[in-house]
Amino acid sequence: MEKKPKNLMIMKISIPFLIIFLFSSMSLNGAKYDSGTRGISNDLISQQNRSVVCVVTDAQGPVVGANVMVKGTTNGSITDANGRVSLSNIPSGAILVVSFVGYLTQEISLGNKRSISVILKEDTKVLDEVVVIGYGTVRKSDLTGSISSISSEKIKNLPQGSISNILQGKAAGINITSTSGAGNMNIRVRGITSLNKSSEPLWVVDGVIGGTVGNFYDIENIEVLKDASATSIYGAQGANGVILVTTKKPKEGTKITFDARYGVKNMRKKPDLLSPYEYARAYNEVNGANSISVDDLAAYKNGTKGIDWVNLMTQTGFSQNYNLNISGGNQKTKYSISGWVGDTKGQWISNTARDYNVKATLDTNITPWLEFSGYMYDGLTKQHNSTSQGQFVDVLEYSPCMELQNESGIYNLDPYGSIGSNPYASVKAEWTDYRSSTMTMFGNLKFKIIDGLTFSTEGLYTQIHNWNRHFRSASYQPSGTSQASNYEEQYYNWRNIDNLTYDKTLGDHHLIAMGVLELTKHKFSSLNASSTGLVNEATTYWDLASAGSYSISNSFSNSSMASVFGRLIYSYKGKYLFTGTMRADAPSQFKDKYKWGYFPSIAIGWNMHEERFINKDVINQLKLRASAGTIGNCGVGAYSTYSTLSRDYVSYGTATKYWGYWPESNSNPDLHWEKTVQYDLGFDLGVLNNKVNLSADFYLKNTTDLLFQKELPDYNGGGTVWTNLGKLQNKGMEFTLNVVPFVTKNITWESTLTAAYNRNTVKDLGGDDYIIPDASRGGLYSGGLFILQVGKPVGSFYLQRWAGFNDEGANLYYNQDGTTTTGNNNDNRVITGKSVPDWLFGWNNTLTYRNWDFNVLFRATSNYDRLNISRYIETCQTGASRFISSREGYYRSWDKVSDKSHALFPSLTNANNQYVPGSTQWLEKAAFIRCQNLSVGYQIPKKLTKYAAIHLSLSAENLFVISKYKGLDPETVSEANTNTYDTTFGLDRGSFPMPTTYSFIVRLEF
Amino acid sequence: MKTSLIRIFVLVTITFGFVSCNDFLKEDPNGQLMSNNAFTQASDLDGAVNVLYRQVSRSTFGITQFIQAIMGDDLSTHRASNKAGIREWDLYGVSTGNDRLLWCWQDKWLVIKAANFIINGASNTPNVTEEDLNYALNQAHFWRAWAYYYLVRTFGPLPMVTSNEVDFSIGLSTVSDIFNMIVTDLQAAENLPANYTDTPRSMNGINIVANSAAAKAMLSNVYLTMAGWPLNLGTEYYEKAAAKALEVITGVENGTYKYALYENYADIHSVAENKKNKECILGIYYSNSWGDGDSSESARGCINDFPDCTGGWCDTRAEIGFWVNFPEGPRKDATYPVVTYNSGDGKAYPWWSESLPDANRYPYFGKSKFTNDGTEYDIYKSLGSQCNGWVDQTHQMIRLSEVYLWYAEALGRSGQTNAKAIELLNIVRNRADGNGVKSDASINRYSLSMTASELAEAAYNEHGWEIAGWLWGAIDCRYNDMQRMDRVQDHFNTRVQNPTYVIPGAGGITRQEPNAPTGSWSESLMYVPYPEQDVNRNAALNISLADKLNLIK
Repeated sequence: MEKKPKNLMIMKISIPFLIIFLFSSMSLNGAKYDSGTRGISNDLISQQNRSVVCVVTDAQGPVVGANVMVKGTTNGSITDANGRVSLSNIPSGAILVVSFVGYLTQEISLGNKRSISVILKEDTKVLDEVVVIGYGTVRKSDLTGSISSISSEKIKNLPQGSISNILQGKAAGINITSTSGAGNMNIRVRGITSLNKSSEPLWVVDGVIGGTVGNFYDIENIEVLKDASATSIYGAQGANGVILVTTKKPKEGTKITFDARYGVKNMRKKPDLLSPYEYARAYNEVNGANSISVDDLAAYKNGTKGIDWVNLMTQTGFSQNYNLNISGGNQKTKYSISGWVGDTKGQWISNTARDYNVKATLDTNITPWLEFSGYMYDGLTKQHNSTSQGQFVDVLEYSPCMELQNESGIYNLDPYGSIGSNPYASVKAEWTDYRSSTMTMFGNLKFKIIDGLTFSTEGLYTQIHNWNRHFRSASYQPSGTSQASNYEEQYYNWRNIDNLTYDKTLGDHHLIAMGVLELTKHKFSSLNASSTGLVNEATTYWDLASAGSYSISNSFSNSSMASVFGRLIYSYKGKYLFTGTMRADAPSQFKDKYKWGYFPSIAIGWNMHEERFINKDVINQLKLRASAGTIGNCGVGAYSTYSTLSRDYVSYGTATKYWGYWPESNSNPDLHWEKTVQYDLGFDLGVLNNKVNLSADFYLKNTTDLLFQKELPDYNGGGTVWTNLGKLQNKGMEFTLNVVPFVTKNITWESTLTAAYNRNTVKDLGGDDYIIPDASRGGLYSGGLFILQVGKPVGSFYLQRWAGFNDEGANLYYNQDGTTTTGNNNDNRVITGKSVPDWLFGWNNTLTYRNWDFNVLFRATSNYDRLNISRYIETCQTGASRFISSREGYYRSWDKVSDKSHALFPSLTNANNQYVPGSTQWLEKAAFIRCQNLSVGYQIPKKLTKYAAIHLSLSAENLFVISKYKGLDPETVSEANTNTYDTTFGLDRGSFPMPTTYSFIVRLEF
Repeated sequence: MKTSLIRIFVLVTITFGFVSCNDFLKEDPNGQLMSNNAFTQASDLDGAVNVLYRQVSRSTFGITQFIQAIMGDDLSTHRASNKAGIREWDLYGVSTGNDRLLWCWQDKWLVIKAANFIINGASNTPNVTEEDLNYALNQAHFWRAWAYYYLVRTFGPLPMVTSNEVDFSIGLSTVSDIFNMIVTDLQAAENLPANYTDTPRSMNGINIVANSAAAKAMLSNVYLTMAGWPLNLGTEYYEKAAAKALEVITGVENGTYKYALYENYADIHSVAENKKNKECILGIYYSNSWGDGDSSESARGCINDFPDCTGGWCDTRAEIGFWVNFPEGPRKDATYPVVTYNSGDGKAYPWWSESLPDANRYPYFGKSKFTNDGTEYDIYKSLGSQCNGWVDQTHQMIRLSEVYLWYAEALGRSGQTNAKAIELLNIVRNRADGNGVKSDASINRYSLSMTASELAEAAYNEHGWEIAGWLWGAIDCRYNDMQRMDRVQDHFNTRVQNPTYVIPGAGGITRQEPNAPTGSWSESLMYVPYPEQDVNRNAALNISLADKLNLIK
């Protein structure tokens, strides 16, 4: 009997709260509030000078409480509810200084004017802007950690659809690799810290791990926490860095925004494959004249027969997205409702997707001492078919010389080349419908107990329901059998955070002390039913019982974690800064003696520009930062320490499954934390009126007790066991240079250059000199392609060295002693090349000219490699490809080139030739410069249209790439094996390339 | 206000703050069976045997698991296409990077793991009869012996794994010690019942799982091998082999075992007899009924053997020399399809025809001719129109005719002859010639006066023809015969010379093998290297092929 967790109570409280306030907000909207008339200083003593009325506004209207002073005097006051202030006793030629928190301070020469209006401009770079850190906020000037920040201003005109896209190239120290053209990303903050467990950073939305971003348009800003001081507040989950996403908070005053975006996607580069006629001729040359008949040859030549697989299987992708955001409220209660609809036609034929979501947010002051904020989110994604890399491999190697279907309408297999499935059948005689729905509820109650002391309790509940329905017709391939399946899975996550914070300024001392208790629980269950041999295929996946045989399966897992932690932030005179954090985590996965993990960190900062010996007019900002701390990783799955039995069955040649259990898997009860100790040294420098800002960080990360899925000897049955093993180090530096080369009345140019260097080194492998992480690969890749070696980076390739060809056109490979052999011998492998770049660069430029804005973003990487297995399978006769498919594979083969020194590929008829995918023949330098984004926008002011400000923009993503890489894209990779991911990262085996996307965006702000 | 605020604060703290951490953090592994649940109820015994059979069927389903058979003089592979890895076996140069090496190593160890699980744990099962317990234990002994027998002949010295404790530093045992373990295991397995009655152990009137006859037959073959290379235990073991084979033969004669030879050789691999094969002493049964999407219970078949111009993969191909020497008759016709279908023009030709693609002008084996709809394969049609590469053809590991021939050969090599051995030899040959299952002096090819060595050689040859090209799990393929007789080197030298064969009945057409090994013979080529990954995990496996020869006795 499962006990109902007491913390579910919070849901019971917050749900009604949320609903009540959502409705009540409508009526509260019109409620009047007392803005409080501020006292106006009216010095009537020296009267010979005049009075002046000053009206201060910003883009939204009057600014209340702005400070207006006569320069060089103490004469001044603040604006009233109408943004007005009246000052008397003004000498002629006086200069007024108008300032307000969050806005640029302006100085206005009065001349002889009696009244003046001032429009304040928001200062996006104010030092006192508040930065969101884990479980709280801090003034940017008090910040001691290393954080990269991107605000909505920087992203609102960009066309990209995902948060990862936004960060690409814009934040130093975060490496985001587009692993497939379908939008998959691989994100690493300051290098690889874990070998077999994900090094993916932790995503936190509005302070909640696992929170939901309604959609791209809701993002206010994104912060990447990088050093231990910043991330250790996330303890066991923070070792890979933390990405904090803050969504837009509702603001006072009604605001309606509507966006519409249209995008067109195309392949930037197409594979150069043999035409049907070329293929047929080549095939007959290699396999004998009668292999493909003379009649067919003629038909392939005149085009009456033959298939262009790339054209057949891909199309121009198209997407349209619409977003409507309505927000409003008063000082007491604010709300927003945001809705999003997306419709996508993929580049892979028959692939379509639809997304819908809606998010309603409410912030309200229930009493002067109690605030409530909360949101409800509901999202739905529907997808029909999708591209898998396996299918793209088939497209690359399927023979163009065949008929798609036989006379009975059954899809043919490739008679000559690939031994894989017919790619066209995989979308025409088979389909998958996927649907995912997510519901999130979040509520936070904040009590102001005494001045400076607040207690908040918050609850998050997320329920995800995914289903996947698949149907395959018997016509899928000759002698095929129909199949149908229905898979459903559900995730239930809840989290409760109780936070007690004391935030107080006493004279020169500013203190923020915080204590938190956090509880998390996850549950997962799934159910799958599948059947084969449908009685009538017309029922597709809707009548599973009407079939020859069925199978069912289900599964369940749960996990939980309890955490207690605290933080102290202290600053003295705004100059000397200290942050100390301590967190203790206990996840359910570890056995008792390893249950609790402790993660301390400290950081110090020094705002040097506040010191007298620095001339603040020359050096606007100079802050030194230093931090050290420990962070953890407990990312193993539930029950990893249990020794369990696996079930398996045999049929004895019947249609019945005879079941049994055996100890297939292995367990390690001593499994515990992976720990990372990180040191960071950095500075922030601002000069020339903050027009040039440079931030730099230097760091060292040592990870120990790595969670490693150790492969066991095959003579013991193989398989793997989770262990804590070895040490890993990441060293690096990051620079962000922000320059505003010129600002004039009409033109502003802002340029940001980010550069990050990371060197990853394996320091220890539990006593072993090296480990082949993918040794269990079978077939052509037998023995593995990668190595973990002490002193080398993770993702090092371990390959045989290709030595050209012998006199008969067979591939030659170097032996260890420097002689050559035609044999495929794993003993000859050497460590060569690596899959992770040294340097990452991003260069983002924004230029505004009157109502025009332009953006161009370049990304570049240095010194890394890809193993081009796509090229290998297109030019080889081995493994799953029995014949070549690319033009170079034929025209540049030993047989075809007259000058043999120009041959790129071996003789196709030499029986002694050995093809080795794990050889340096396929290892290519992949460093690139990519034009990530180029866009132009035009703003039509509201005063022209009368009803709304309209912004139009046109952009191109991935317009060009400069790289020596011979494949379709230097960045994308295949294989997403979650267990060996970083250790075996870097294969291009049918990875779908990044498309070139053209987008048109219309945004209306009412 | 202050009071209510404090009240709420206290309430909230109590509600959310104090949750019993012990309960909260306890894992609740629903749906998982813990290892201490093993062998806690009677049905666990059958369950563990089921899993054992699963491992056996997975380790015999395709050619990769028996790729060493390619080294026999009956089999070769395509000259180009994607067969570089198979050619390494064909040309006696298996490298550590070979794409097939790993699988033929890994799969057999899973059988051993499943067997050791039973051997080490089954006796804990409560409330079971001695009979049920022994059945499970003896099945485990049988299949552990089977797996080691396969491995020791392919790889030579092995780690002797008898428990499921992971051991990264276990040493290599000698070939001799491994063979002794195999013998001990098979002697235990001889205590298996002679016949079964309950499903699934018995179906369609035959035994589906291993019985005592299978154990005795395999033990006979093990003794035959121990008598020859590399242990060379000689006469004593040939006599043991003959005696053990005779136990099976006598058992058949006195009705203890219900096996018999088919009148027609072609019936042996026919669709009709697939799951009720009376000649098959040990078979692994597959099911294709779960369709192509779930091939987990089906096996590879003709797609491996048939040439690419027919629609197959041509992983294997028949060697010309063996084809030339193969006696004509129904056995040959059932072994080699008489025509090759050419998808290029939709017609069928004899294999040497110039109308076929050059790369396919070689004989090939057609013992696997199963279609997906349960009909007999039509060699005048393309493969793709008849099957998808997955079949439910039973993998026959031991047939009665083989036991006849082992008996005859073992007897002959021990220096003896007798009328029974020669009669059995004649029965096999007469059936091959299309003359039915009988020994009749008017048609017999082998005379009662043949010498012991003539008897041995005749039986050796007949066994080769009887199982030619069959590599789907046979415990004794042609290569194994050549290996134990230390004749691999003879074939190696022939292949190096690459003779030209005149094709009988082809109007003077001559052909040569397209693939020829190079270099010179070394005894170390009798074994293949251990796969890279286990060498990396355990330094004890890091020895050269030559050093393996020092670890025989």
